[in-house]
Amino acid sequence: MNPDHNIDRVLNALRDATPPANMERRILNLLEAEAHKPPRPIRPRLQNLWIAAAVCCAALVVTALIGTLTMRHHNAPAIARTTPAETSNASRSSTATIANTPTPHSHSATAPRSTIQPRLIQVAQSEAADQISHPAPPIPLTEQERILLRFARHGRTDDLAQISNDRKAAKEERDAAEFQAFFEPPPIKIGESE
Amino acid sequence: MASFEELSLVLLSSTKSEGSEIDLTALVETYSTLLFRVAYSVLRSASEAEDVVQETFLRTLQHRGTLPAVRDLRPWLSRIAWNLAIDRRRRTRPDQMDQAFAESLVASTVSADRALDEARRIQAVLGEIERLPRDERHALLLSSLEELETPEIATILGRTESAVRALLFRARTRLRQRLEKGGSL
Repeated sequence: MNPDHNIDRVLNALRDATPPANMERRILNLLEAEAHKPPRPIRPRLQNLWIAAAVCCAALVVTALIGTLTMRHHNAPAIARTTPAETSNASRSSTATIANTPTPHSHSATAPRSTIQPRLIQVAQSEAADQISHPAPPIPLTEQERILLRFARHGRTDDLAQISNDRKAAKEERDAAEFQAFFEPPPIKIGESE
Repeated sequence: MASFEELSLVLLSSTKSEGSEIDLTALVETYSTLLFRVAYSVLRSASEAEDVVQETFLRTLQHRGTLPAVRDLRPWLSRIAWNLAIDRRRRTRPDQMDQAFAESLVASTVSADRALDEARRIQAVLGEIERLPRDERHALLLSSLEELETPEIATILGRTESAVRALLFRARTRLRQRLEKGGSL
């Protein structure tokens, strides 16, 4: 069948569509009811304005919070790189930091961190110091390890002797002899009187 | 320079706008059928189209202050109904409406097999119309309405008359080609 025939059939059906019975009457009734409605009071409009203002305030607060968190996040790595000594110095000289902090009028793009309020810096420093991961403290060396370390550093055989029991005993004996030799009164020579 | 009669018409219009004394009854009686067909061409559902007509007049009532500034009410109202119908079609399930529309077109005197076959063909045409590019589809559907001339269709669609004619030609050609290619007709 010719496609044009079916196309025309559809388009003709759309063209000849008849409105439902009493459509005009229903529309007029609706319009009449709508026309007799009292005009909208101003109150809901004001209410809407208040709601909009509250939403704007909430959005501002959220933006400020996000900004603060972002600044802290950006500052934390820089602080984490500082040594504990620097951190303690910074906390000690917090008053100096406050004094050296430039005013908002001297704000420049080259030194944005220096313009952050000192209070924020302190809070960020303390938080960053808490968050730094410290390595586990070293286990104390045993006596023998300490002697070996000393021997390796200074090369004194006395240190090595302390590890071996025989040498240790020999060394103790030698030390005792030296001690005795030092503290014992010298032998009385013949012909000498006390 | 405007004549005396023209000036008096303008004054009458502004008086109308201030007092909001617009004869809505006359508006509804004059344009409701046209607006129904405009909406029906998009929605293919009588109840939905009636809702669109109601909404069109409600909007007219709400913005009655702007009515005196409208030069030609026919395309102006048609454009409101057209936009409302398109918006409504996005929110409804058009397939079901097209099916009901196709079944309503089939004569009740034919056998069940033939009626089913014809309904399927009509649905295929409707499906291909929906697959046309948006501007071509809109021009084709509006051109099906006898009451609307090409300049009015151009006003509703916001195009020039020559553009509307070109769109109509392309729509018709593309539709024919696709239906022939589909082989269902």
